[in-house]
Amino acid sequence: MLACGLWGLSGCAAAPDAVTAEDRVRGGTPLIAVFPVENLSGRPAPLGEVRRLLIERTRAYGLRVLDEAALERAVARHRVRYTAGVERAFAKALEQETGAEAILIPSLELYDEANPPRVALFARLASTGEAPTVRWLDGAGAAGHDSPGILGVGLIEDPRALLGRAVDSLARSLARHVSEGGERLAGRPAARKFQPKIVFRSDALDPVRAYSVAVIPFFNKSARKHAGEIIALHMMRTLMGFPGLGVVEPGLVREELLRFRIIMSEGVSLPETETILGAVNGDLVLNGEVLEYTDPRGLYGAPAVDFGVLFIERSTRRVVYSSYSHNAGDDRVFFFDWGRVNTAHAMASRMAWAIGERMLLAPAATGAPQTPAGQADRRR
Amino acid sequence: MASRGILWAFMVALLASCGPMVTGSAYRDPNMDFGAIQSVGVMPFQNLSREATAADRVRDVFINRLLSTGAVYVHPVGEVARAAARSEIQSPAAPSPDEVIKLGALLKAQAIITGVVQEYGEMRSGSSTANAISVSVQMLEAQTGKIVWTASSTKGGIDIWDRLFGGGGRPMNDVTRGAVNDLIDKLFK
Repeated sequence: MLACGLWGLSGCAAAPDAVTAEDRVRGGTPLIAVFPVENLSGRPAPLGEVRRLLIERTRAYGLRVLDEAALERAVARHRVRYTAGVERAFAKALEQETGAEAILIPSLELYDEANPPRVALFARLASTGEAPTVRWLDGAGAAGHDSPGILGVGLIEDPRALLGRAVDSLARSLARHVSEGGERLAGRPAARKFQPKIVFRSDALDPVRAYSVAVIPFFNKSARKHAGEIIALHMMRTLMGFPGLGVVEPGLVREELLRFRIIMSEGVSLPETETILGAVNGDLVLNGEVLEYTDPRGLYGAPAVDFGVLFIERSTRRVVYSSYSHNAGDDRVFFFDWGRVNTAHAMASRMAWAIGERMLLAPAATGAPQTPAGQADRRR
Repeated sequence: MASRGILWAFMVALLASCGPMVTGSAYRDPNMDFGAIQSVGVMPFQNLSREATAADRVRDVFINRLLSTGAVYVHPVGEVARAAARSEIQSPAAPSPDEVIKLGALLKAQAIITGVVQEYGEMRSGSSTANAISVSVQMLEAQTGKIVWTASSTKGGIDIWDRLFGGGGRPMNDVTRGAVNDLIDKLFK
């Protein structure tokens, strides 16, 4: 009886999905070059293993991966040192020399082996050729005690197992994107508690119009290393989920910032906005600052995320959206840890999605009051 | 009987003179037309607290809150920093009237706002702790460099509930938003 019960419970646990025939992508798949993993965790991490797992799982889902030696030869020939993004010249050369049609860029946000372990990573797919663009971007973040289940049968104590699940979910998402012909990932509506706390949204922002957004690395004023790049990735992932929005490949933005020798000490100015958007043919520039991005270690404590975003439009030269968000993982958690979020990644992705909803969906669709944001916030 | 009346009057006058002088925590120039202010630049806040990022945090919340009212446009911080660098301001947190005029012309703003964060963080009294903030801001007219509005706000701290039951008070972000909302209310009153 007990054995039967345990067997039933283990069936309910969130086990990694096996590669099914439906998941496999058949024929006409693009040849993908997998770049080295960008380490945003701020500490040593098994980057080689993450990359090996990603290549393995990507192949398992039926996608074609460029031969390691061919990629190394191309990288060495063009003396590419920056592999956290795609530069125009290399994107073109890679396509011509190897036939690769896309580049997969993984970024490791967190790898914590303490008990319970925590893992968070992103991956994005950029096209090669004359004009590289971001085709797909997704992230996965989990803690070993996210789903403890009855008697702790769902606890994961092995960080490698958690990493395997996270990589598998990314590979599956990528395979689905390729098989469905570039379908966008639709996020779930964010809970009310993750909505930005203060919002300004200009009427000049048209939710129906198509925009191309250049994301400039956020200013990091937190104690967490690379928090600016992490929040920028969360925002890019959100923007990619809304139809009509395109994100300029961050490698191209970086290339233009270096070419025009733009150094920002405090924030992006209007002439810099015009220069960048003109160079990458964008409509909006996204910038902001991160004040806190904390992941707890061990069982106690809650993650905390605190950041502000700012969108400036090219034609009007004005701020069209600005908001300030902050949350802790134990916000509005009263009984038995229901609703608790264990990683900053999981929380920041919901906060970023809530920003997208407030920014791009009509007020009625988001459940927000039909009044200016400021008035609505004041009443609360 | 008359002497008793004089004595009462004297006592009342004496008591009244011992009472605190009540002043408001805000000043508004009665001659200023605040409706004419369409855009403002918010300078970096001065930080007198022990928390290194307090000024940036409060400024960020203040800018977003002011923008969210829809009453005025706030120039992006990068644009303000660029204007401050171009006008060679020695201390952007406390510009002189001449520097305010220069800044206003460069930004095409009708007013410049400066601020000071006096207290930010946890305060302790006996065994009780709570988060508190004390912040003051002033608005300077860009044409003349004159102060047209000042306000200050203190929020958080240890109340009777914290003393009796503990609990550590409200989160710092909530306290900050409360103080900023108070300041904005004083501006639009």
